[in-house]
Amino acid sequence: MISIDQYAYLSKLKSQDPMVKLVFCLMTLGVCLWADSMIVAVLILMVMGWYTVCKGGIPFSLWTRLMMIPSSFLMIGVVTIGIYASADPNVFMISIPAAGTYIGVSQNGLQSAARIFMKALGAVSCLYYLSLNTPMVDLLQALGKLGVPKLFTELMGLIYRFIFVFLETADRMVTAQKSRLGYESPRSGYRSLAALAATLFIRAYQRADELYTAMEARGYEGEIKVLDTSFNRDRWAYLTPVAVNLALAAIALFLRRIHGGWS
Amino acid sequence: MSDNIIEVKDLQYQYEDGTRALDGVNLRISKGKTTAVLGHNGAGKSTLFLNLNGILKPSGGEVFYKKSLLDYSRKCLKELRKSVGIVFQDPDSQLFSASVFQDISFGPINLGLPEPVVRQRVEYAMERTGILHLKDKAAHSLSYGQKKRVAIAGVLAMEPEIIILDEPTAGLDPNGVSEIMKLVRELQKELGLTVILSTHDIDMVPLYCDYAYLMDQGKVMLEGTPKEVFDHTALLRKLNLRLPRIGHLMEILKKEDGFDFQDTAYTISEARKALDRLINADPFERKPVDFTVKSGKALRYGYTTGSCAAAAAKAAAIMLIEKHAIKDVVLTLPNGKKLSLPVEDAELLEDEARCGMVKDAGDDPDVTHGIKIYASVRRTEAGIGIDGGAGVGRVTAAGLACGIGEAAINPGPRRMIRQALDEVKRDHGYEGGFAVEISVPQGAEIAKRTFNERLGIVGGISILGTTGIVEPMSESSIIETIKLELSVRKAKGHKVLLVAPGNYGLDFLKSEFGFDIDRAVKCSNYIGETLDHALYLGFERLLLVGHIGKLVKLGAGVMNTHSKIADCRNEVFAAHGALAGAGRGTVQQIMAAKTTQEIHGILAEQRLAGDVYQSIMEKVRFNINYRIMNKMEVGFLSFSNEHGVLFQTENAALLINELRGIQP
Repeated sequence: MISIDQYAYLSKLKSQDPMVKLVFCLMTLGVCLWADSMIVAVLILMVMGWYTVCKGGIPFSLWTRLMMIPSSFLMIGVVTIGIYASADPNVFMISIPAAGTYIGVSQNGLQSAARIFMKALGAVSCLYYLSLNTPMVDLLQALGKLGVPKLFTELMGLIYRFIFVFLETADRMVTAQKSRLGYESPRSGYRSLAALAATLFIRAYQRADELYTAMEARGYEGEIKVLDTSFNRDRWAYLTPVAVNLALAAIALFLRRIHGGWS
Repeated sequence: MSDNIIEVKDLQYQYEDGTRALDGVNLRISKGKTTAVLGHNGAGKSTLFLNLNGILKPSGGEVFYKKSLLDYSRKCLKELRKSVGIVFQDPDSQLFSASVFQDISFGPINLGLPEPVVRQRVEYAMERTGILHLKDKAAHSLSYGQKKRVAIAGVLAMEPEIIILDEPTAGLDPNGVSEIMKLVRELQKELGLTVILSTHDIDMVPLYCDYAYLMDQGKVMLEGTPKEVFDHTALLRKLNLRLPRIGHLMEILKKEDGFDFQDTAYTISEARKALDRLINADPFERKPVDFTVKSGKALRYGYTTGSCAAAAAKAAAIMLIEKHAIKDVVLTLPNGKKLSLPVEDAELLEDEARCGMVKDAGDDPDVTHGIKIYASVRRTEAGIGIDGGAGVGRVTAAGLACGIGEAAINPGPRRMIRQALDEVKRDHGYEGGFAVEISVPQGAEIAKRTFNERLGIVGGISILGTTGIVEPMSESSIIETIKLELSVRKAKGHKVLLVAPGNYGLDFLKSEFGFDIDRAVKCSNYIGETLDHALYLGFERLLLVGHIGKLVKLGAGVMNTHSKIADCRNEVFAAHGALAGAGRGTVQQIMAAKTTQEIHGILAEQRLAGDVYQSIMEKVRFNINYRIMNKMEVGFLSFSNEHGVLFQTENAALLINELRGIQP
């Protein structure tokens, strides 16, 4: 998660209006889910991968590694779709008899498993495109503009900021505990972890207190008001997402006509 | 100062748990200045700061901002927070946004400023604090020092008149500390900011602060310029604070090492000035009391037996009057400098006080080094009587500084004793007199190693010294080297010690006798010391080979043959020439001669050379044997480059053979 955050700050697309990226991500995500087509999903995966790696400058190896994470979950998920049980062995391409019934793989099942797999990966690639190229702060700003309630964005902002502070604190405390053999045995490990959690909670509370005081000293009156980072407002920037998605939608419709209806 | 931007009167603050964090604090902060608030943890500094910004409402007392009383109304608070910005100690508790830019914009936006103005202020604050390049960075990716700068920028963007920095340098590396403090100083100068800061970094206070408050347990204990505050060293220490390192060094130099600084110094530049003033004040004060530098090596000064006697007398007199023992005594030396000396073996009787001083000869140790010199003092009707007791010599011959029958306490020390006792009388308003008796328990023993008996001083050492201090010579280090060489020869098992004053002698030995000259110890001019130490180390036999120009001086009993000590060559030749029957004209010629070579010519012409050299040799032998008290067999040989061996003792040849390993 920290590495995603770091890459977002390094991305070549960082300076692009987060709104454009958000719109691109959501639109493509929508098309991916709506089209329900393996070919479209693969296309989306390629387009988003290209944007992330070539345009954003995210290393390909990192991108593939990140894509592998949902892949492994998806594998397990789609296996249950691809493989099912039936009393009739003829529906399967390959099957094995088990306890008076047959378990196997059918062509239909295999197709839908692959489609779902790719659809999910395509959707994930859309989200990766957004998160690898947009720092959280910019994203929150865009979300705020889209009408997400201020309470949520403020909370998300504070949580985001203090995740790092507490990770650092926790990391230091764990190191200190380790250096005093705090995690030598499971027993001492549990005890150390409990102490860590308790201390971290107290630290969090103190931090909150200090933060409130510090904010009050700068005129905080119940609402966090900050200046948005300014981005190049360019209406034409929306052209690419729209064009790409129109093309994808057209392909989806074309494919659908060939195959006839939704399949 | 009338231009107080903030004034705090009798401020009280009590936390909900009953802790009295502030207990009647009075504060006046001058506009445009940097004020430091010092004190250990829990002294109330942070609470005070939160009161100055209206975050905390005091339970008593008043806060005035620009002469108007703070009434804690919403409007008033907003105005105050706009003008008084606080930078908290931990930037992680201050930076709430992951975006540097957004965080800095928080303050000015809260002031209700229009967006373009806010943008401008944020840019300016970032530029001033040198963090423009961090604009697009995430807060969590910054270093501690960078976060600190962002925190300062966040307050600076509000364009306050006063900026309060809580521990601005805590957690920074030394470079970071000076950078942050320079930044603060710059801001203060260029924007006319008033700065209030708390710190544990005492060293930076005299550098960057104009005024300082010292707090303890919610009270102001001390206020003033840093110098005024630090001058209260005792109170500072009582409150578990310390002096700046430089101040501490200067204090030690003054107290322990006798550097007579006119003023305290707490920064490097102040210390440099103080040292410069001390060194360049006047020629007499050119060197500090305790050190002298000879041939690039610092040598420690010591003090004379006279100083010890005077200091002991003064200490005893003070004890007698104050009726209690003392640990140290300050002695004024004849040059006006002061010397602080520890008192030993203090003893207070009914009508007499006695104490001792350890004599420290510094880096010029002599026989008296490390001995104790005592003074016992009694009250008398009037006047100051000085006498010597056990271990202090008695004068039995005329012609010395003291009369026959008197104790061997020279006029210099007598003067110092009188002066010291006069000081005591003056300081204590004592009208009567003193009788002082100086004694040196080891004196009688040590005196045997001195020339006292020869001078007609019996029963002990002399109390000497005119300046009161012993100025070390680099000679001592040369002598130490010679002594070391002697010890090495001894350790190697040499029975016969070969000594030559210089290269002439060594070369002569080599060419004439084919000696391995590494066997010889080069004793330079310190023939007397070399003899003493050879005796001390227990050498049985010693052969001295020297050029006539050196050895002839021994004939006059001059055992240090350096020409700055004495050049008596012509006189010795003249005397022995006359003894050998030279006429007045010849003696006059000898006296006028420039070199021993020339004298040799004159003597040879008169056919007196043999007799004269023989006679000189006898005298040299006598003086050497006197020096070593006949406890070692010494042979010697003298030569000139032109005429070879001029005279040698009967045993010289035997010793040479022994040295060359030839058995007799």
